[in-house]
Amino acid sequence: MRYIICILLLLCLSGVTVSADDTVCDYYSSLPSGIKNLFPEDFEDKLENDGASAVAMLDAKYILSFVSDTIKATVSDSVSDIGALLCIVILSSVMLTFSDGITYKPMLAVSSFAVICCLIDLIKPMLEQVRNQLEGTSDVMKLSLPVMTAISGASGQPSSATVNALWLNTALTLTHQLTQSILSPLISVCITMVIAASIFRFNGNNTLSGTVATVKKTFTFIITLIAAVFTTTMSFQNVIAKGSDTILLRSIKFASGSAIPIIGGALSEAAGAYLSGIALIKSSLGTLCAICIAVSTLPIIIKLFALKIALCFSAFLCDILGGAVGTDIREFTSVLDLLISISVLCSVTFIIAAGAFSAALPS
Amino acid sequence: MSGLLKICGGALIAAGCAFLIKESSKGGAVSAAIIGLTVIMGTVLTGLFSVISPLKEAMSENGVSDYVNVMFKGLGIGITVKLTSDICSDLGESGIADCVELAGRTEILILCMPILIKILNSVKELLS
Repeated sequence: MRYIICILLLLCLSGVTVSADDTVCDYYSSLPSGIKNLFPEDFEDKLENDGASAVAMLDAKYILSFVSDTIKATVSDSVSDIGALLCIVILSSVMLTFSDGITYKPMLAVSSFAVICCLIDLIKPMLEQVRNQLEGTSDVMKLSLPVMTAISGASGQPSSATVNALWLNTALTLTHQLTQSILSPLISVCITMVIAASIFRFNGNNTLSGTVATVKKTFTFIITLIAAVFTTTMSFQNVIAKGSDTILLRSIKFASGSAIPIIGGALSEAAGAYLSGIALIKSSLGTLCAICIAVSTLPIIIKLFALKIALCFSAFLCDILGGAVGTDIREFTSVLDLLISISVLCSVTFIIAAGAFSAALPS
Repeated sequence: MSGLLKICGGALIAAGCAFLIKESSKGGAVSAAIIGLTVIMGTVLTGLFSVISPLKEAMSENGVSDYVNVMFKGLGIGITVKLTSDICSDLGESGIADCVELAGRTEILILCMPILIKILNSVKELLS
């Protein structure tokens, strides 16, 4: 839940809702239709007429209503699947209660396999959805970065634009490649190991649990490393780029203000006004970009949380009824944690990246 | 409750008959016990089927009917094997009882195979 709150806070913090129509319109038109459908119905019409008021529609109220609708849709979609899992868990626990002696082991095998199969049916589509979401988010950033770089360059911040674009592009490409090439396969391996450990466990063999823990630790280490590298890069580049731009801007203002009498000051003010105008465009674009990433990410995160709650409840129920698959269900729940963390990491880093572009402007 | 009373009554009558016949004919006592056991299990299973059928229908809507079928079949095999094995043991045929248990385990293994294959296919898909 704290991840969702974190994303919502980031959105609220980046919530500057003034825009320049053309740039935002161009950016919006380049978005995939899947993301466009997540915006309000009249958003596109309003954007064409008045970009500022259109982007102003995407406020905290819109985000909260989007989250509320997503939760409702997720709950109604997941009820049957989660109900089925609960029924299987209850049935397996009851059947094991009535089994003893020679029937216990075979019944344990049947019920364990059935529960594992049911859990795979629930988790496999989630893995696919997270992969698609990572691709989608990356596509949004690939669309946003050149547009924002161009505006940043036009705003008289060439060094900021170049340095930010270069480093952000590198960081985002690295994040994307690491998640696609290492983290995503690692999650598949982890799920496989959890399945194998569950099959081993019903026979009293717990040797694979250590291997599963090692895979999870590796995943956690890599994801922490990515987050640390990204945060550090962002901090350094933001400070350096902003500092160099401020010096550059001050030099231009000083040169124009002192070298050109009378109109020099006005030119300097005009430059400032022009730059602040560009800054507002960029802020608006940053907000739209951040919202695009959030609305494409939040549904899957909410789904993962709903499934996690259901699995925790199933494990609890299994323990109460004396079932033997509680540990297996908890292991699958930990896989969901990995999926949540990778999903949140990508969305948060991308939102921060969009926010960094908006923030790296002269005041 | 009335069903349970009938079962308990039947069990007592079967046990009493077996006890009375035991003195004159040991084979007759065993036959009486088996008949009583069969009638009791028949009554129990009839009651069980009336519960299982709606449960299976409810599960089929959730798309997990395959798993539920396998679990109920496993339960059925378990009960049948236990019953048969106990009767064989009571008759002093422990070899046949062991054989029945082995057959039951094998049957459950065969029953599990489709689920196990499905799990293996899922693993294969995950790793591909």
